[in-house]
Parts: sequence; structure tokens; C-alpha cells
Amino acid sequence: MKQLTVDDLENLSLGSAILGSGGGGDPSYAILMAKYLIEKYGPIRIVSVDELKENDLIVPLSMMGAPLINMERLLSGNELNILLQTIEEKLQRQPTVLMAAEIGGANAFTPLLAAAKTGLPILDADMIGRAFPELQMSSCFLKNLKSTPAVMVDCLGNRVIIETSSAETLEKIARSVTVAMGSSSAVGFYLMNGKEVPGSAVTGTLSQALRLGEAITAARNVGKDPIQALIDISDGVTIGKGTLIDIDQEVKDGFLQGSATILTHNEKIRLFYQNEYLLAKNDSEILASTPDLLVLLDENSGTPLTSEMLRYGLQVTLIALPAPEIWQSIEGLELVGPRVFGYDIDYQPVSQTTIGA
Amino acid sequence: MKNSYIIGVDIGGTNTDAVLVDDQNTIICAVKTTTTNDISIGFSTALNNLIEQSAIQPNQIQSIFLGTTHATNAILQKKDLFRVGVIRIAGQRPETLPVAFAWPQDLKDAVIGGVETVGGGLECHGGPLTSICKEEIRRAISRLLEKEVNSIAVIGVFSPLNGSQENLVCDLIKEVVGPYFPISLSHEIGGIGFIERENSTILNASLKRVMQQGFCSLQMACQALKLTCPLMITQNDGSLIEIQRAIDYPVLTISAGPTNSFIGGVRLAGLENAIVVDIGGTSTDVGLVRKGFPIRSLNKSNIGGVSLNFPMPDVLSVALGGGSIIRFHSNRPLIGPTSVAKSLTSQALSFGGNELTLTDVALVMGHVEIKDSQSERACIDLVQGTTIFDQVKEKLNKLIFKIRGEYKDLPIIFVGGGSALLPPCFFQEEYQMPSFFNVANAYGAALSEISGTVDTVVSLRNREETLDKLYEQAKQKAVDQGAKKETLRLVDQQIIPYSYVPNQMARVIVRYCGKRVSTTHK
Repeated sequence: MKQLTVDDLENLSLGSAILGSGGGGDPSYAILMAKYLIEKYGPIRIVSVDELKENDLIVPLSMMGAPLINMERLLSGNELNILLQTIEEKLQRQPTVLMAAEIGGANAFTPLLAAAKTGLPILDADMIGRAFPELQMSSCFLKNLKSTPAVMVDCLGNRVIIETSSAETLEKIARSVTVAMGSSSAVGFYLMNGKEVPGSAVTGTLSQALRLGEAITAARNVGKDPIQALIDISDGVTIGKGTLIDIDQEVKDGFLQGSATILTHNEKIRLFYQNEYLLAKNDSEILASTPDLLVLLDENSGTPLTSEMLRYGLQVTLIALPAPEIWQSIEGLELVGPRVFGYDIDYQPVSQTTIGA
Repeated sequence: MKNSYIIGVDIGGTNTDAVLVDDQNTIICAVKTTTTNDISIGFSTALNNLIEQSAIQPNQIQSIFLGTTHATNAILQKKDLFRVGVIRIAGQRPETLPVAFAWPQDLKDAVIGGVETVGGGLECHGGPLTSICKEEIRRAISRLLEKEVNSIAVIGVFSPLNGSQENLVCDLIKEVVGPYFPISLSHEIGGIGFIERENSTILNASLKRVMQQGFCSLQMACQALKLTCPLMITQNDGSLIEIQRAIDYPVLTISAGPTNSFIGGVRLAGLENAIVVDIGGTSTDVGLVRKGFPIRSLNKSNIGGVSLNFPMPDVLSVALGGGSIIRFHSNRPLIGPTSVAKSLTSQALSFGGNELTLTDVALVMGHVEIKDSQSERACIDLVQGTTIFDQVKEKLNKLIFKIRGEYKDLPIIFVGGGSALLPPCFFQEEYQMPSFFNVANAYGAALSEISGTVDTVVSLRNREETLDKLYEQAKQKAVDQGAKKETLRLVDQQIIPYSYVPNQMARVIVRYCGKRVSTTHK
């Protein structure tokens, strides 16, 4: 059985930020917390989807709300234990495996915090294969799994059990609960039996995040170009390289919306984002769009930049990685394609190859 | 009598530099001395030499502006640090990140004397997280005092929004131990980001004794020289604070160095926008200055392994300096990364030592002349020397190319003692080495202004109105620190929206800078 140790955290942080595609928040505090808990309680077991037993109870976990809140109002450390306990009370069954609801960004670390303390293993899978802003933007929604009962807990131990008829309603209610919880909450939803996971979850995404991170650190250690190393192992393509010259942003309907302009040696590329980077175009054509992963990196270090970090004058490289296969389907595009985010264009995959499964 | 002269001083790890500047910001005189263990001795020597050489009376000096690495050195050497009791005002009682978790163990052992968490703290909209209980706080204080801590640091969740809970804890501590007990409050240091603000507040609390001694000894040295003008200290963003505030909040002075040298560099060249290359004894730092201010780094600042919440300039560094040791590998010279650093005049070949350094090569090549050096001891020829300096040029050009990016037309300014070693032909067109290049740090300090910064979380629903209010707050802070109102200008603004939070909440950072009100005595 594979294990996740303290030495893997930096790679996971880089890899999950790449899969975050600009969203998912800054993992710098999450990585410290995971380090502390793993040092205290020992390494975390990782199980793959084919190791699951039929009667396993799998709990996808994530933090909801503004990631920046938790950089001031630190997690108490009891949120996820209370959450798992509430599920047990409700279902009269013990959770046996934890997983990240969202592998992109700081939420890749959320199940680790609970796994370290409870000794439960984490699943090498998630429900998105990247980051997206709403609960129903999930592979489990595509497979018509039940999103509730869902449990939400805040840092003071307040808890709410939600049962709804649809994931969209869950999203709406959970959003309001999160605001009442001080704009940050822990949430567990799309609880699954072992036999439901194959075909519903995006598998192998934890190892994928680790691999992407390893590619960058390995290249840095031998003085090679980390961005090239990343492209080499991910079937990615370079969209453009240059200086950020214009950043225009606002918060609309809860999302950080905006555009950044990259001045390259021969053109201006506009990168549109709503938390995640969703669309890149130049004066004449679309260069890449959601659900492909647009990844903006610091040109020298290869460090992925979240949309909250954008600043005039940064030297950046924009690359695109192919979307997980499920999002390239017609149903997938109806849920997370460019039109869902208000861009009236057709999705053109950057690459014929795909990642994830 | 005219009294419009300013003295700028830089007390570094190796050298103490001082410049005398007139009201047109022209350097009248510059001196360099060695930094002493008791920093006031080197400081005193530098000021004394400056006054003697310039033949100016002490009462003609309007102010002394000083930047120093004294606080950084105290932390790196763990010298005379206070043992600190930490009080977290955090109603959620976080067990996910212990105090000083990521610190180097030896520093943690030297500094952390006890930790208490009490109820309270704020939510991001300013409302209470949980209620605060005086009795609980009193018990926490007495437990810390039982552990014989010398100083207390208080950090509340979202306290930059409202410091009243921290002020209450401060009052309760004073009730027990009297008004002179050293207390550090995190909202006075500022910055959203609990861990970095906590780290800064704890380091501040631990530095109080050593920095009070240091700054007071500098004040006494001024008095002995009959310099009755104000002594002000440059803080991390390059702006000035009163010495009393530097004594109360020494951590604010911890990393002024690169900012001073970059600002000094562009202004020595008479520019506002430029790339500054600072070549020292061990390393070369390159930074980009726009509109008179260095551009900020993406990374968190880090002193002695502790991450802090101060903006640092974006610096590219390479291990290349006057003391860089040169070795030959199958006839190919390799420069650095090791350096003889401070021991140049004992370890370099030209000074009787055994190491071939970049300074030796510059002497052989005739780029510089240094008194009492014997370059014939460095057994290399002109061809080898040319190869070595070609490598130096290549390294420098690479850094400059990297930082320059789209700013193709920016001039490149060389400062720092090591710049003198470069071949004269290197300086042409946009590559300049201004006069007084080797005291750019002290000159940067002399040019410092007063700033006021607000870093908080607000609702941007009424965007214009809210921003205007914050501008006024920042300006008022600058004026309270002694800035001339009509010279204030906005030098930094960052708006970081909180996604998924209603009412368009955002972290907003604004900073105003302006000239100091001159205290002209007739």
C-alpha cells in the first residue's frame, strides 16, 4: 500500500496548484497543517479505486468558501472529525475511506487533515480532476449519484445536515450556510459505497498531482526548465510567454472575475478567469478554454500562480493541459464548457490525448 | 543658519557607511568604516569622520536617517533575545498550527517561553468570533508569568480590522505587571495572514531588549557628537519611523537593506526607473525600480527561517562578488559560489592569503588599484583574466536579461563595492556606475520618506467611497508619523477579493508616501 509522507507535501502542493488552474486557493497554510499532523500522527495510507471493498463508505471532503478566511481564522482541527462523526450518526455506518472532492488547489489537502488524525486511508481519486467553482460540477453529478445527505461544519463545531433533491439545490443552500459560518466551512457530500466509485470518480488524480509536482522539483534540482519538464509529462502545450501588463478584476456573484493580459514578444494574450482560468485568446482566435486546464506559471521557478496572486509585471508562461476525459463529453461540456461560464464559443481541445480516466 | 542637511547611514554586517546630503539631495561627503560589535562605536566613527571631512556644524544637520541589519543579525545569532509568552485570541482554539511550528528548532527554543489561547477574535466582517472573558485572560497571563517570560506577544484573529481586543489584553497584562512590561500587539504590526503576523509579533517581542539597547546607544552617540536632530529609522518598505516606534516595534526595521540600496542606486543615477545591480563581497542582487520604488516579490519574506508578512523587493541573486573564490577545472575557471567575504584583506592572494578571488583578477587586469595590494602574487595571465571577466559579464547579463523582461529600455545601474572591479569598457550605453556607487545603501536611507499603510478587509460595495476612506486612513497614518500632507502620494495599492463571500469583501492594502515635515529651528 502506498503512503503519503511529509516529503510528498511540497510536490502535492505544486501539483494540486497546477490542477487548480488558477482556482482552489493558496495551499501554503494547508501544507503546514498537513505537515504538522503527519509528523504528529504518522504517514497517511493511500488506496487506489480497485482496492476498494463493496461495502466501504467513502467520504469526499472539501473546504467551501473563501480560502483566504482560513489564513486568518485558522482551522480548529476538529471540523472534519465532527463531520465524520455526524455522518456516522446519520447513516449508522462508519466512514472507511476519505477522498478529496476537488484535487485542484488547497482542497487536495483537506482529506489529509482528517486522514492523519483518524488513521483512515485516502482514495487516489477525486470528483473533478481539476478545480471548478460549484458543487454540482462533479463527475458524480454526471453519473447521477445522490449528492446528499451532506454535512457541513465550521471552526466552532457548529454543524448542519442537508438533504436535498438535487445537487444544484445543495449548492445554493450550502453557499448560504457557508456565509453564516463566517464564509468558510468544511463539507462532506456525495457519500459513496465502494461499488459506486468506479466510473463515478476521476481516478488516479492524487498520484497525478504528485507526479506533476515531482516533475517540477526534479527539473529545478538539476537546473533544467521546470515548465518544459511539466509539459513533457502532461501532454501540455505552451500558449504563450511574457509579462502580465493588465489585470482587471472584481468579485461578482461570489466569484473573482477578471482578465489578465500577457504581453508576449509578438502578441497580447487575454486570459479570462472566474476563480479558475477559463479562456485564453489573442486578437484573432481562441487559444484554449475550459474544461482544458489553463495553467499560469512563474516563468523562472515554474511555480503555478493562482488568480488571487496576479500582479502587474510578473514574468509568466501560460500552458494548457488536456481536460479529464469526462469533461470532454457532450454532457461534460454542458456542465463545465465555455458557455456555462458565459463565453459564447465552442470548446476546442488543445490536445488529442487526455489525462485522467 | 542653514540647517537643511540630512545624514544617511547604513549599518550593515561588514561596513557602516554614512553620507551627508544637502537639501537638493546632493551628496556633500561620504565615509565608510567597519561595523563594530557595539554598533554605536562604528556609527560614532562614521558620523565623526563625516562632520570633520565636510566641516559642517552639528546644528546644521536636520535629521539622521538610518537603516540597519542589527535586528536580523540578533535573530541569526540568537543574541540577547527575550523569552516570549504568546497569547492567541482565537475562539476556535486552533490545534492545526502550533505557535512557531515551522521555525528552526534552536530559534524556537531560544524564544518561545509559553503559549496560551483565549476566547475571542473576529470574523472577516468585523463581528466577534466568540466572546471574550477577562477572567480567562487573567489566568492565561498569570500562567505565562509563572513561566518567567520577559515579554508578551498578543495575536488576535482578524485583529487588523479592529485592535480593541488586543488592547484589552494589553491593559490586563499591565494591571498585573505594571506599565513598563514589554508587550507587542499584532495589529500594530499589521498584515492579514495569522501565522506571518504572529511570527512577526513574536520576533518583535523577543527583539525588544537588544534593539532598545542598540537604538539607545545610537541616540547617546548622537548626543555625544552634539547632534540634537531627530534620528529616524528606515523600516522594511524603505520609509521612516520615529526612533521610539523602532524601539517599540523593532521587527519593522528588519529588512530595509535591499530597498535602500535599490532606491539609492536609481537616485544616484538621477532616475526614477531603472534596473539596479548591487555587487557586494559574496553575492550580487538585482532589482527593478519603477517610479522610484522597487517592485515587490511574490514570495513571503523570510528572516532566519521564519516567514514574515513584510513586502520585500523582488531580488534576483547570484553568488558573485569581490570575494568570490576562483578555481580552475581542466583550465576552465569557475567563479564562486564560495567567497572569502569579510576576510578579503587576509585571505586573497594579493593581500598575502591563499585564495584567488575576483578582486585579485581585477587587480591583475588593472581594472582597479588598491593600496597595499600585491597583484603579482596572483599567478594568472591577462588571457585567463579576460576569460574570467567574460564569465562575470555573462552571469550579470543573464540576470539583467531575466529581470528586464519587457522593460527593454531601462538603464542598468551598478552599485556596491564589487562594481568597481568590472572592466571600464563594460560601462557604456545603458550600463552606468554612478559616483558614490559604493554607498548606495546609505544614500537610499538619506532619501527615505514617511509612509502610512493600511492593510485590512472591507466590503467594496461602495467601492469609491470605501477606497477613499482607506486612502484617508493611510494618509492620516503617514501624517501622524510626521509626513508633510501636501507631498503624500499613493505608492502601492492591492485589492485581493474574497471569493464566495457576500458584500464584495476584499483585502485591501494601500500605502502613501511623502516627505518628512522639516523641523527647522531658527
